[in-house]
Amino acid sequence: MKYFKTKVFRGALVFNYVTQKMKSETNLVDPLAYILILARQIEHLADHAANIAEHALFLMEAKAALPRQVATVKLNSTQSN
Amino acid sequence: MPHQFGFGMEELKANLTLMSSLVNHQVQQAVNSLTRASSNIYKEIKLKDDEIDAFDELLQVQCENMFALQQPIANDLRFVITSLMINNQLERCGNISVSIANRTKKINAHKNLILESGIVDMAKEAHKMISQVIEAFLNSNLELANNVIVKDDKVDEQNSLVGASKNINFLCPALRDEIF
Repeated sequence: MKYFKTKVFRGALVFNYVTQKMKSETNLVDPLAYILILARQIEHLADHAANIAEHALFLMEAKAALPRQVATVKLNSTQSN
Repeated sequence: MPHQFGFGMEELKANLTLMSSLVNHQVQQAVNSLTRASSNIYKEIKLKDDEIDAFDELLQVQCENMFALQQPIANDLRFVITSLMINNQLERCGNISVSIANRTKKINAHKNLILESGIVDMAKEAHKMISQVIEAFLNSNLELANNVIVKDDKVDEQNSLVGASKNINFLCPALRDEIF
């Protein structure tokens, strides 16, 4: 199964940059807040692309992919038990 | 009757192709608006978004008609279901593009912050994913669709606020094998 590969951890780049900058230059808080929202929206774009990819895989493979969130939730519940 | 059904499927695919190329263009424009200081981009994107909304409604009606009147089965049924789902996702992408352009317009005076923060790279990666996934869907390219799903994790990582769930994906393949 190729769907879930190990992540390359790159850290919280945007968030760290924004919080550091907010602390040092308080007059820039407004545009920096916008940048945080922009980052979140770009992430949503990528999520939608991944969703489309899953639907396309369903069409091509004739088999429904397990939603990634479900896999994570199941994993968490088994760990807590 | 079979002739009519085939015609409907072709029309559906043609409309979806048109809509996906429109959305691809929109996302590209939104990414461009991050780097370019032009106020016209927002107006253009806003106008094009109405077109995407119209396509969304058209495709929804077409898919509903296919279900109700033609009773598709097997591969055709999967195609209609997928079209309905992808149509929904594409429309959301269009809306997000408008929103990105709108927000970028508001912080036009602080372009240097946008460039420093690294969201331009994220946006370029997201746009690449969208164009790849559209190509994968239209050309039935399995490999490309898989690549996009793997890449999504990278964009999420770039934006993640907490470093938890680092190793969670090691175990997911085992979970999948257990279920299927």
